[in-house]
Amino acid sequence: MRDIKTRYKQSALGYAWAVLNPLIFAATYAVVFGFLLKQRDMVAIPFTLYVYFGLLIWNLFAIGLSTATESLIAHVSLITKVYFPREVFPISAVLSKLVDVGFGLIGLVPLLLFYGVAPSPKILLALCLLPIPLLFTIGLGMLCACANLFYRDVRYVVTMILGLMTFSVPNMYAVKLISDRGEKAFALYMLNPMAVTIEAMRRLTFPQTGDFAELTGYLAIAGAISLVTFFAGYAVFKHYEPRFAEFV
Amino acid sequence: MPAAIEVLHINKTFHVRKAAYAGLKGTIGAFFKGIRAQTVAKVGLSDVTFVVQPGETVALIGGNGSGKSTLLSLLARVMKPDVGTVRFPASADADRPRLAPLLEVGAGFHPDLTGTQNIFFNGSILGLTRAQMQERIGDIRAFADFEDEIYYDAPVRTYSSGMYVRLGFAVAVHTDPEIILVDETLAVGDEAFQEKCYARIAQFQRDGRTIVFVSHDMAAVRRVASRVVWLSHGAVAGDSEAGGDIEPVIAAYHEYLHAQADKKQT
Repeated sequence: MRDIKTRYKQSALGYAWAVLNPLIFAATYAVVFGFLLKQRDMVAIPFTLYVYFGLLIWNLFAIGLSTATESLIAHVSLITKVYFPREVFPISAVLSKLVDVGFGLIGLVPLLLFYGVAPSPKILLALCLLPIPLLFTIGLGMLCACANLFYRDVRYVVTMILGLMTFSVPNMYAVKLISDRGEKAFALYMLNPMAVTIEAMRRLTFPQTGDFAELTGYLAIAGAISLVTFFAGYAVFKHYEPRFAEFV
Repeated sequence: MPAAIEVLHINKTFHVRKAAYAGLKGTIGAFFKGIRAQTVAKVGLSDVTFVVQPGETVALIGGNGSGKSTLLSLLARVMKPDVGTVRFPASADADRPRLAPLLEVGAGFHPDLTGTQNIFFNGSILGLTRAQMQERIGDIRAFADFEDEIYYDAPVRTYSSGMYVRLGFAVAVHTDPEIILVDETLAVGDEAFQEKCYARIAQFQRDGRTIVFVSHDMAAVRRVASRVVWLSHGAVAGDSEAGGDIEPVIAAYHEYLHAQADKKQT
């Protein structure tokens, strides 16, 4: 089973995309939001860097979730022919995106050199937070993959919601924009596990962007939400699993 | 001796939705019209029972839509019966036997991976470790016997359908299965390859492994089957039983087919 996780996906395209994709978006965001909308003045590190780092984690969620949603449909021939635990598909879809994060981090090095910004050694601590977005994404992925099997419209809904959700994480704008609106707005904003994780990981890696300690409470909530999502997703997935082969 | 396959009183019904109410749109549409999405219950299998002893080679015969493939899917544990049980008492784990399902040509090959990568991938799906596959890769290649070595390193989407089957069959027969399920895949290879497959099946039979296969080719059935089970409209219409003569069942099936054809003509 391990083979599937590591080998199956990701074969056709090179890993360069794991760097190019966030880089191109970061450059665009930097011009539109950083420069034109003046967000860069509110961020303590170069805006491109700010966005690039956030996008690494956001893409893990967004691309992971959309791949997971399609994962059952994409393997219809296997599902109807061979039995093995079907959660392999959504889980491997998300885990394979973890590889992208790894390559994205390698791509971070030249960016850091270019801007002359040194990351804090706490970046290692930041990586320890990855299970939060992973569990959250896998949980949602199992739910959506399952739903997409019964209603093919689900993938369009997922794509749309993901598009809207890009506004719900601090990539296009500085978090200060939210915290300026008051305590309540900030608390509400930080209920989104992805928003907390991105901000927390960035604050650990670049302490100049904000106080990490302020986020620990929200991180605990995000961790709880992720766990609940994961187990709920798994339970629903397993409940419907015996009927997958009939419905594809 | 415990049975290899024990199918007891299984029922399987499919709920086919009318096309207009399929998908989310259909469900919502039906909801607003104040009706429940209409489904038509279609009986796939009804009260099917048969027990296969280890070492038997069972041929499932019957017309299209008689439930043969559904039955194979249940044996492959891809589907679950609504009622009744499917068990494998002779296997170490009676609910999870080592199966080699050959339900479709190269099922589960990933088109973008190379032949060699797919060998490993398919092996892992069938429950073998990397090390086990490494040991067998030579044999698998020898069995698939491609004309040009280069094809093992080419993506399988570039393969001909014949090559697809050869590789799929080669992997499946090298996974040390307890039970082999075959759904009309043999017919695609060329004659030389078919002979090789028959030889391999004969080898499996000598080893005392259990084989269940679906076929419309009575020559193939007569050649390898030790027992014939005839399905008609989801029920067992004839069974030659272990050690019995298969000819009466085949004859009865042919008679039935002719009767059906006559009925249509008149």
